[in-house]
Amino acid sequence: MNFFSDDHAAELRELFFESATELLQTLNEEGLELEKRPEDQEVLRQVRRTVHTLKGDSAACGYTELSELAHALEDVLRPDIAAVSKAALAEVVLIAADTFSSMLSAYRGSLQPPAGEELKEQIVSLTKKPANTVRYKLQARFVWSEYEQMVVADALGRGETVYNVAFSIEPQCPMRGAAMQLIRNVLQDCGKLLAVAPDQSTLSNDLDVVEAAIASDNSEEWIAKKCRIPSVVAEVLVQKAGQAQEPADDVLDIVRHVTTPQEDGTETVIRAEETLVESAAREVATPRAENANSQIANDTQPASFASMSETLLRVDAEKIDSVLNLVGELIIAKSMLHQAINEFEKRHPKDPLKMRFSDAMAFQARIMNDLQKSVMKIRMVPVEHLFRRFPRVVRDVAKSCGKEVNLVVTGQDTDLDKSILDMLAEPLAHLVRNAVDHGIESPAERINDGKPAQGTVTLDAYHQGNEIVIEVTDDGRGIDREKLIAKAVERGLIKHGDAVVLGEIETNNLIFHPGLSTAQEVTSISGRGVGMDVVKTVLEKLKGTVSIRTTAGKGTTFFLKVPLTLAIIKALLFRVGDRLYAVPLASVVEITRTTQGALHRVDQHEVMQLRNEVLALLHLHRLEKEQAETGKMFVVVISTGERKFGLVVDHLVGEEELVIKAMDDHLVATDLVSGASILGDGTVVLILNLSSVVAKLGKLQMVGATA
Amino acid sequence: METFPILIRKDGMPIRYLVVDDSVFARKNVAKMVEAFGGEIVGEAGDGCTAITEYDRTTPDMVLMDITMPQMEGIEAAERIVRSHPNARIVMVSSVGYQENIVAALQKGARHFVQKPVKSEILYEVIKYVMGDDAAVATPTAQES
Repeated sequence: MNFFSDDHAAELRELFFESATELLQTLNEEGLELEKRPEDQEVLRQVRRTVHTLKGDSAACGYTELSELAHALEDVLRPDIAAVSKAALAEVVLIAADTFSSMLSAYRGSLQPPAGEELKEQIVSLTKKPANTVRYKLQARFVWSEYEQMVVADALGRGETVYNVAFSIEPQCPMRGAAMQLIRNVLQDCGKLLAVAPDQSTLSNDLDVVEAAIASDNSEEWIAKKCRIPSVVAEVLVQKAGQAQEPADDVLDIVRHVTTPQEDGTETVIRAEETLVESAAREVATPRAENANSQIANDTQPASFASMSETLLRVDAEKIDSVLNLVGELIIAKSMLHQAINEFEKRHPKDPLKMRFSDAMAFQARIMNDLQKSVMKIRMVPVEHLFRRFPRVVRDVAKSCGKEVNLVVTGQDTDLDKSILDMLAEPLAHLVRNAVDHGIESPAERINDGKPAQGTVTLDAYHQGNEIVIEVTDDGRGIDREKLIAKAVERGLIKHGDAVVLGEIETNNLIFHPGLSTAQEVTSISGRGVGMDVVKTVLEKLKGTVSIRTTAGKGTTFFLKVPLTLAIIKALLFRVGDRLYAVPLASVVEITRTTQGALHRVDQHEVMQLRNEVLALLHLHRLEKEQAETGKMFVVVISTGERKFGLVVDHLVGEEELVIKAMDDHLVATDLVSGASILGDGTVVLILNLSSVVAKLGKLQMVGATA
Repeated sequence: METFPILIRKDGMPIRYLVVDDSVFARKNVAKMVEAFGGEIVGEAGDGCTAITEYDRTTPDMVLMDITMPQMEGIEAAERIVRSHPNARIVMVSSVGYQENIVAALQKGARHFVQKPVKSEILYEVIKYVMGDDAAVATPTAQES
């Protein structure tokens, strides 16, 4: 059944997917919490509430498979089961989160969702044993008491009109207890309730007939109408009670009906179950008491996602991109204007209009700046969106390889461009998995080395200039240099002799070479050797870098540096020959001058001495196959990752904010250039892809780049 | 899409609803249904506390209240509303697993309950029942939805 028009359905579905994704994330977090504190009623309540909301939403959207599974799960999220199953329940919750997530993506793609058999089995196995404890026993005591019969007779004796009312409960009504309560409420509205069977405390699911006697001044029809409660009562029978009659026969029927399903149990079983019921009852009683407390505690919590989301506006990312693009064009227009005004000032230095131009220019520049920042901010999301999935990743990996790992997350408030964030997800997950699987040692090994048995993986994010740095640190065994080199030699990635001259950084960078993994064996988690080079490739695509710091026995840190945004960079412009080039300012360390005479050759590398460092030099004009003939030259010192090198250029032009225009691959047949930009005077400037330049010009075989 | 005869108050005005649920989705879903019955949503709340203040502000004819919500659960909100407005018509909306809570809510003065996922035909009948003599099916002249 589809209750909504198509437009509306689509909108609701979008809303559903958005909130469901959020719910699943919450479920993951709560599942982990539940694993830590399986006895905590409050945690269990939270999990249950999350599953409940998910169930309700998906059912309303018509996703029955999901809602039924969620319903089954919700049913086992009970304190009595939690007490028996301990951590197993949390495991089921986490499996459920995965299953729901794959179902969601199936729904999103309009595919048949997975059946979730594993989850079903898990849920069934949870309920198998405790199922006995939830049966309610001994309903035989709900016989109309002598007292009740007396009350009826008494009312009749006083001349009141007494009605016998019988309800048959709607077969589809699953909440018999609630139905019972509602019937009682209605009966009390109709008149004075004299007797009711079964008694009020029943929550039995076997109940399907309720009989009552009321004294009322209302008419039979009125009562019948009032008692025809929709969705609860299927049929109503109202009879005026003539004389004080013995309703014993009817009652016996009811009693028989209610008790039959239990009669096959033997005496001993019943006794055993009674104690179970007792303990279950105690458990039911405690959460009630805790409800009151938790409500107070909940008051201090921030408003839930659901109640906040109405102030959020969902906008297609493309729309923001097009605004950003226009801002980029504006920046070009600004520098055109700027140049025109400079020209004007040169020609008419005395003109009073000059001041007004420069005022207007300054004003416009400031607004442009703000505009650019605000548009950028729209695209920014806190890194937390990325980080919050990792507690689960760490837990799963640690569990599967038998390690104890604690994840510490800091700097999650740092903002990052959404598209960058999305691209970082995969490499970061890889690094985290690696850190747990390869980095952290087994508990026994750690204790041997005098470390705490529990390893720590730290995720950190912070700003550094125009870049964001994300660190993945583990306090594990570090990278074994010797092993790494041996492996690289064995695979023929480097020559034996070269190994000696490799610097520390170059050695570490070996890890990014495709097809190299130092893990002894391939596990299901990592070690297939396809990961680290992907990390590097993605980072390069993002104009970022990845570097490593490792200490044997102490641990490893991966530094992922990415630009704040992909659209606009601050760049240093320079000329080589008659071409104009730019490099991201963030990668420029310093600029220095040197002469032809100060250059030396070492191992086919041209080097120069910079203070007490030796700096490898790259001649850009070799790219253009031209010969340098100047005596003095500028050297731009560049760092990519942890490597530094000098770029020899002819003229420095200046700093400029460049709007990067992506170039389609068929326009530029080289990976040396990562993009182009247009200056205010219409000149085209090429933005160098530094890592490719290094690989190409430096002829350093195994820096690990794509050479 | 099913259509229902429009329900109006005795005075001919639309029935005014307050919808309480912590899930925006569930709220919109129920809101669409009651609007199809000719009702008017005069307030929405995402938690029990807001529900109480919204009730005081709007004094609706009917409250559709979710049972599990953050900060203050539906039962408590229902209880407090009924305490200060004994004639408040509150219908609890919840799933099968919360039977005890529904029973509690009914004891505290809720008038009826509807099971999630809410089916429009059931909700319609329940609203009609709970409104009782205070509402009627509109004469078919204005019937269009």
